[in-house]
Amino acid sequence: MNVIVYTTPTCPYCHMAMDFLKKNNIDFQEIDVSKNEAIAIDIINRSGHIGAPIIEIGEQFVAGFDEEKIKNLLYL
Amino acid sequence: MIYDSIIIGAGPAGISATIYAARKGIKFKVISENIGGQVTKTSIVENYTGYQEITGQELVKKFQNHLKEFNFDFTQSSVEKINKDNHFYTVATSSEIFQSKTIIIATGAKPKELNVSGEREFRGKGVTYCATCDAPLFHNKEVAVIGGGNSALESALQLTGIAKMVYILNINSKFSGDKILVNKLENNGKVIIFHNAITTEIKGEKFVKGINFFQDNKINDISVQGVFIEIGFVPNTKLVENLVKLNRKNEIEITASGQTSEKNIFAAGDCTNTPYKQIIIASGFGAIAALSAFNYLAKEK
Repeated sequence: MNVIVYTTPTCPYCHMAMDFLKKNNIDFQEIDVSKNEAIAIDIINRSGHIGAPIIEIGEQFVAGFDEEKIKNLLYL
Repeated sequence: MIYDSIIIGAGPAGISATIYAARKGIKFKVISENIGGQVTKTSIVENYTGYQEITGQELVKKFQNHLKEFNFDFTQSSVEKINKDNHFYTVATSSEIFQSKTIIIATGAKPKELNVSGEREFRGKGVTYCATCDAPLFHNKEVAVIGGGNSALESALQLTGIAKMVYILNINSKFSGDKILVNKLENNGKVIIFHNAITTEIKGEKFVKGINFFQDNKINDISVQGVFIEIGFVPNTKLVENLVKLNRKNEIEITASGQTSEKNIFAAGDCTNTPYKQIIIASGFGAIAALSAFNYLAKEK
């Protein structure tokens, strides 16, 4: 499953989320949305959420570091 | 096995308690959801001795490196319950139970909510309590910062580098934050300050579109896409409300030596009734709590 973590540079939950994915050997792509406004607008509109991180797992979105939801979507 | 002490929380107070406990050589463990506490969400720290300017995350990294010097048990978890038995306390997480002779509570505080219509509905849809996390998502947008203390002023300052327009809505007639921050904001062309402004509603559709506030006997209306709520903190003391004495603000009452109403429970930092909630003060009280726990244990032997 394709996993993308949309982050901002100083967001602690972004780091916690990425640490969690690494610990569980999940490959993911990190996109720092502070560097790309078009991607920021796109992910806000698609996910309906303004906040960091937004985690895209397949066709689903997780707002914030919601460990339970991530586990469910990744069958961990 | 019964620990000498269990430290709950690992923000500045818990970390400092850990360092002192480790150096005293007592048998202890730390249980915390994270390391760094509220410092992880602080953009820049400019008032911690030894650092003219350091980001919250860098400071946490330094704290973590300092902790690496010592061997101690750490469980990353929240604590669900503390029970008092005859001679010790049992501390339960969702999956484990530990026993200890003393407890050091360093559970910190969390952002206070505004309690206005729209706040919950638009949380994560323009309403945020973490400028450090979310400010970069408001590039070229109009935003409102609610509050008048240092957290609000620092968030507003951070946002001036990102947003198109920054409104500050302060419920009081003056800012309570540091003059140095107030001066920077008053001289910034992007910033408009409203004093004596009571936020009454956050409005929007899919995302936030504006806020209403009461000022000069009328309701005013401004268009914003982001609302940063920085109106202070509430102590995380639900866990111990039936165990130790709290004051009217639900803060744990402590003595100058960090002792609570229970002789073998100590507390430090933003969860206590210390008048100033500062990183350096929490660190100091964390040291006091650990030293007092050590002295208590020494006398009990």
